Amino acid sequence: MDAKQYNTCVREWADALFRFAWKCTGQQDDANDVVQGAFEVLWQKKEEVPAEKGKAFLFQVAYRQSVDNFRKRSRVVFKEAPEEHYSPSNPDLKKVLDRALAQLDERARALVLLKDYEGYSYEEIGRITNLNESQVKVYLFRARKTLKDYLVSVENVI
Amino acid sequence: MITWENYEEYMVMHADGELLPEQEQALMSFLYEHPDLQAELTAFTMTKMVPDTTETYALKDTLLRPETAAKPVVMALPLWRRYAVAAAVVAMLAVPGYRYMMQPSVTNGQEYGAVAVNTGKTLPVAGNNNPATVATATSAAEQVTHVGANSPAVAAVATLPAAQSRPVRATRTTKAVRVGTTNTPRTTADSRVLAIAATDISPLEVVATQPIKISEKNFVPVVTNTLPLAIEYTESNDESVAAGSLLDKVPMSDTRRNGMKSFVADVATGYSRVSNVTQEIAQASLSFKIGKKQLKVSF
Repeated sequence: MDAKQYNTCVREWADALFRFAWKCTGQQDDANDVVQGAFEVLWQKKEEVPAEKGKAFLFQVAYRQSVDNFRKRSRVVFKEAPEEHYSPSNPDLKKVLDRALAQLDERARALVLLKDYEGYSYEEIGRITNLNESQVKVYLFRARKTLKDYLVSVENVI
Repeated sequence: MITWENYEEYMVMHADGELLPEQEQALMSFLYEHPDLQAELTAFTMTKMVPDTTETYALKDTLLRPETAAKPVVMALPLWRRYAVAAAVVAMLAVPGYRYMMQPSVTNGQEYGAVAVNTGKTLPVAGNNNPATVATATSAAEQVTHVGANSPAVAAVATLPAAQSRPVRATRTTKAVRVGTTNTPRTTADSRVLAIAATDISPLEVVATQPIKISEKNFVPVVTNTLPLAIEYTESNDESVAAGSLLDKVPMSDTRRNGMKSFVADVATGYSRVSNVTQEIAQASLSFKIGKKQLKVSF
């Protein structure tokens, strides 16, 4: 990967990486740090990373920085969406999903985001997160079930 | 096979789009048999997160890196290499030839030259005080090629004493004069350049001009080209040896010789172009833009 291809990665994937990091960390400042760190690593290893692998490499670094960094700090503090009164007239599914996502641990959250935001397959997610496909399948199943139960409970509240 | 124990797993995979077609068909069949599970499948499907594309990374520009670092130099090098190679080739071909052509010919301590004045006549150059010269002058074996006109070299050597001149028969010129100096060591015995009458053309063009072969048996002086050519004097008993330009001395076929002459002419043209480019480069300053920096190169 040369400088031009690196800049192409910046233009194409910086926003997606930022959204992923923001959802993973729950903090915009932390997301900025994760994005900068990921692209810094990509720049340093640009000779080893083919251009077509740039996106996966960035998300791999961002995943590690998001998850591992949170583990080191032991501050799994997810900035939850503000509490709102849900009523049939204000069925904002996105906000409900954000609240549901906050219920997940950082790894499950990252897996869901990689699946839904970026459309990676189980196999690709496994390569990014250094998990095998079965583990990805299990983690995602648990995450989906948690999210579904939250949605159902909210709807029941509603 | 989908059962009550694993149907949720299939529903999650359905939401993730990971089911194979036959698995998808099996799930639909299971839901057809248990329609009360359709709401649960919808709930799993609703867990799909949708990215908010309005959330963008504001510091994207800080991540960009210069793409043209050191590239202008790399890209400029081939061009300079081309000029360098062209100049080297031209120099290798031109400098030795130029020196050879400009080297004064010496015969018995005398230099000879001729001046073309386009009169259509052929005159002996000179020399009647030297018996050997006179004897040679009357011989048809004397071979001479042509001359250039109005050159400083001719003017410089025109002051030589006529008594030391040799008889020379000019072929392509109408008037040949003796040029040269005295007390100069003899350089070659058989063939030597008498003079180069340089007018407005470069020595390379002189080399590129057509040589003239003269047979002394059927010697007919004809003015066919008013351009100055190198004058060579062949002092040889071999009548078959004809005087000519430098290339005529090289044993080769006429076809190859003509090709070489054409090549020399092309080299002369290239040399002239390279010289012009070099002068333009020397007069101007080059500048390269590397990222946000402007690099100026002055000569």
